[in-house]
Amino acid sequence: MSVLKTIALGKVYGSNKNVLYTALKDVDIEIEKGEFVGVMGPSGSGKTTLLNLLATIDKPTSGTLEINGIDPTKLNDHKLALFRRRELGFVFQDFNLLDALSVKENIILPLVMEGLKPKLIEQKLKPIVQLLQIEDLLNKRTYEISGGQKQRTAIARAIIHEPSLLLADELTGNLDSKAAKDVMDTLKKMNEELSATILMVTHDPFSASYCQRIIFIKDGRPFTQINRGSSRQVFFQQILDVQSMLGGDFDDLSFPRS
Amino acid sequence: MTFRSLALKNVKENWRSYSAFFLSSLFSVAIFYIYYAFLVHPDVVNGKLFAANQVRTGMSFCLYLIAIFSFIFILYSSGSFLKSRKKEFGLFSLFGMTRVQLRKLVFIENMVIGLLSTLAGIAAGILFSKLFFMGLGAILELEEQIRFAVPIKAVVMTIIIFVGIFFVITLYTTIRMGKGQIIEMLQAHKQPKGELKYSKWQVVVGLISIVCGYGLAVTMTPMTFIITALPVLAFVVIGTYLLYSQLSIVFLNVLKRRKKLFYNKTNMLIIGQLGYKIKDNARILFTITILSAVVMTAMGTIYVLHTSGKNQSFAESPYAVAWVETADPNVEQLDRKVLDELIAKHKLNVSKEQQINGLKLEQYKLNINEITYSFGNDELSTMIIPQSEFNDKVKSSKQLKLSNEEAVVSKSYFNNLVDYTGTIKGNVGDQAIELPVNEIRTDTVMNTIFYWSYFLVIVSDEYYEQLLTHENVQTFSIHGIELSDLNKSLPMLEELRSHISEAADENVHYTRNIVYQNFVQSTSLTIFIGMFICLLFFIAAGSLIYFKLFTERDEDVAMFKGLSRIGMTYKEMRKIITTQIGIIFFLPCIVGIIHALFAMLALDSLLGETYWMYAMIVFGIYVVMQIIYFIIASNSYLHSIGKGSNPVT
Repeated sequence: MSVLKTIALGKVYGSNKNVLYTALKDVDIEIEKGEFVGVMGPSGSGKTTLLNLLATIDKPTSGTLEINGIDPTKLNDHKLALFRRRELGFVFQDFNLLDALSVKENIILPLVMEGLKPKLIEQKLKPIVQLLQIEDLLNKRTYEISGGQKQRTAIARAIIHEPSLLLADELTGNLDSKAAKDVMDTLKKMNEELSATILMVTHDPFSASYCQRIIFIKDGRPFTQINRGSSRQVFFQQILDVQSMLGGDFDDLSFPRS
Repeated sequence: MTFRSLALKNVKENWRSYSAFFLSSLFSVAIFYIYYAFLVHPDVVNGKLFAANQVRTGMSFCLYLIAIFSFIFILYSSGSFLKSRKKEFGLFSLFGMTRVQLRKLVFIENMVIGLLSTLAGIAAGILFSKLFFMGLGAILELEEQIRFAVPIKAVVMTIIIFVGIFFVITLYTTIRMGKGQIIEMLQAHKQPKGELKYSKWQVVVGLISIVCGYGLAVTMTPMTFIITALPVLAFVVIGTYLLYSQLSIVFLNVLKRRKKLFYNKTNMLIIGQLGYKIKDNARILFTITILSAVVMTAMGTIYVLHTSGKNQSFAESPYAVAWVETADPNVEQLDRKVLDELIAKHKLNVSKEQQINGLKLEQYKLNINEITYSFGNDELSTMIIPQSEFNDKVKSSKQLKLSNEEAVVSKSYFNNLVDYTGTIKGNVGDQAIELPVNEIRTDTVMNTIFYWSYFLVIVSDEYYEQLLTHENVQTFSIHGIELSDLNKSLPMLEELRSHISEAADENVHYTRNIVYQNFVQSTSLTIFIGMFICLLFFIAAGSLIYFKLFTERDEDVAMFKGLSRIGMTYKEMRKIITTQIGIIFFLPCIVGIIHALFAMLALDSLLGETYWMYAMIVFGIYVVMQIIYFIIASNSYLHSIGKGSNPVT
C-alpha cells in the first residue's frame, strides 16, 4: 500500500498583476510503506515547494495529493493541523526545538498535545531514546547539547507518534560531517528497525546516498530517478554523475529556513 | 530616496511596532493636557469653583508630578521600543550605515513620532476634556456645569513641555544607542535561556519578608505607625521581588513534577515557557505589582476617607436642623415658626421629624478605661434619657435592659471603646449621682448639640423616674427635622443662620449640610486629582507589559511557526498565548490587590473602623479596567503572532 501518492501535482504562484510563476508541474510520486526516498535538485528546482505541499502547509494549484489514503487539501485548517500532528513527522534543518523545554519534553511534545496519559507517554518514549542513544540527554536543556544531538532529538520527536510519513528537510545542513554521518545512520536505523517511511529533501550527495531511491527534479518537473544497489559507495558515485548531468547550482547552501 | 524619506518611510511601514510607543505617548500628552486645561480653566482661576481654591497648591504640585512621570514613562517606552528594533538596526549597520547616520535615522523617527503624538494627544485631550469636566461636575455635585473651554495657555504649554521632553529623550537615546557590536544587535533575541535556578536561602527570605510585612501591617496601631510604616514597605517590596524571581520557580517546579497536570496537552508549553517568561519579566512584574499596589492603596484610601467622612457626618447628625426646647426662660430658643416659614419659602419638605426627652446631667465626668472625658472645665452638661426612649428610637439595634443602678453611654465614634467599662458622675438637680457604665453603644438617636448632649447617658426607666424627683431637676427635649433635598437646603440654612441670635446659636445645630457640602467638594477634588494620577500609573503599568510582549514577539513567532508545522492548531496556539499573557497581566494585579488589601486593613486599625470593604469598589474598578486592557493587548498580540507564524513563509 502506498503511503504517499501524488498525481500531476502542480503549484503556480500568481501575483496580483497576473504574472504567473510555475514552481512545480506534473509531479507524480508514489512511496510505499517502509521506503526511504530522497528528493534532490538544483536550487530553484522546486524542492522546497514540493516539500511544503507534502507537508500540507501549502496547497497545490493542480493535481491530487494523497497521504495514507487521505487528501489533505480537502481538510479545513483545524483538521489539517491535526492531520499533520498525527500522520506526519517533521525534521528541520534548524532543529526547531523549544529552548524552554528539556530534551525529554521536546521529544514527547506531540504525544502531550494529543492528550495521552503520562504513563503511556513514558512507555513510548523509552524504546525510541534507546534506539537513538539519547537516554543520557533526556534531562538536559537544548542549549547544552551539540548539533548532532539536537537533530537526533528532533528525529525522536518526529517519530514518537508513529507517523505514516516522516519528512526531512536538509536535516544535515547545519551539521559538521561527523554529526551528519551520525544523524544519517540514525535515520537509516529508524527506517530499517521501525520501518518508518521517510522522504528527505537534500543538497548533500553524501546524505542522499543513505536513501534507497532518489528522485531528481529540475525546473519543477521530475527529471530522473535512481535506485540504490547494494553498495552505498557506488550509489554515491551515481548521485554525483546525475548531479553533474543536471547542472545548476548544487553546491550552494540554501539559507537556513526559519 | 533621501535619508529623511527613509526615516519617514520606516515610520509609515512599521506602524504596528510604532503604534504602542505612539499610543502611550499620546496618552501621557492627553492626560497632561486635560489636567493643565483644568488648572488654567477660567472657572477655576476666577474662583468660581469654590473647592479648587482650597487645594490649589496640591493641584499645582500634581502637575509637576504628572510631568515628571510622563518623562520617565516616555523614556522607558522609547527605550523598550528601540530594543525591540535592535535587529533592524543591526541589519542597517551590516549594510554599511554609519553610526552617525543610524543616530540621525533614529532621531528623525523619534521626533516625528513625538510631534505626532503631541499633536494627537492634545486633540484627544481637547476631545475628552469635556467628558472629564462633566465627570468632575457630577463628583463635586455642582449645580452648574463646568464650561467647555480650550485654554490657549494649556495648549501652548503642553506643546512646549512635551516637545522638550521628546527632544531630551531622543537626544539621550540616540547618544546611548549603537554602542554594541553588530553581531549582538543581530542576535538580540537569540541569547540562550539559562536553567531556571532558585536559591533556597532567597526563597526563605522572600517568604519571611512577606509574612513580616503583612503581619506588621495588620497589627499596626496609631502609636506604632511611625516606627513600622517604613519596615512594612521594605518587607513587602523585598518579598514581592523574591516572590517573582524565586518563589515562582519553586511553584512551577512543583507543577512540573505533577505529571498528570504537566503532560496535559498545552499545559506543558504554557508551564515550561512561563518559567522563562516570569524570570525574564521578574523586574517588570515587580514594578507593575508595586505600581498597582500604590495605585489601589492611594485610591482606596482617598475613597475610604471620602465615604467614611460622609457616613460620619450623617451618623453623628441624622437631622439637618436640631434644636433644644426647654421650659427654662434663660435659654434662648429657636422659633419654630421662623423655621417653618423658611422651609416653605425655599419649597423644601420635612422628610423626618423626631424628638427626644431627657434631663440635664450637670458637671459630669465620664471615666472609661481609666481615661476621663469631660468638656469645658466640667461646666458642661449632657443628657440623660430613660431606656424606653432609647429603645423606642433605635429599633434596629439591640434593645437595652438595664437594672436600676447602672448606665449606658452612647456616642457615635466610640467604636474602639465598646469593649471597655467605666463610670459616670455628675449632678442631677441638687444631688450628685455616680453610676457604673457597663456598656458603650455607638447608636445615634439625635444630633449632638455640644452644650446639651455631647454624650447620651441611658438609665433604666425606674431610675429615671427616681431622678425626676430630685430638687431643681431640669428636663428638656431636643427636636430634629430632616430636609428633603440636601443641595436645595443650603441657601435656606444660610438664611436660617442670619435669623439665629448669638445666644441661641449654641442651642441649635444646623450646620451639617453646609459642612458636608464643603467636605464633599474638597475631597472630591482630591479624588479627581488622585484619579488622574492613578490613571496615568495604570496606563503606564499596562504599557510596560504591552511593550515587553512585543519585544518577545519575534521569538514567539519563530516558535509558533515551528509548532504549527508539526501540527499545532490555531486554537491551541491561541490558548497558550492568551493564558501566558493573562498570567502576566493578572498576576501583578492580584498580588497588588493583596498588598493593597493589607494596606487597607492597616488603615482600618489606624482609624479604628472597618472600611476596607469600601476599598473593594476601587479594586473592582481596577480589575475591570485591567480586563479591558488585557483583551485589547492579547487580541492585538495574537493578531500579530498569527500573521507572522503562518507556516509557509
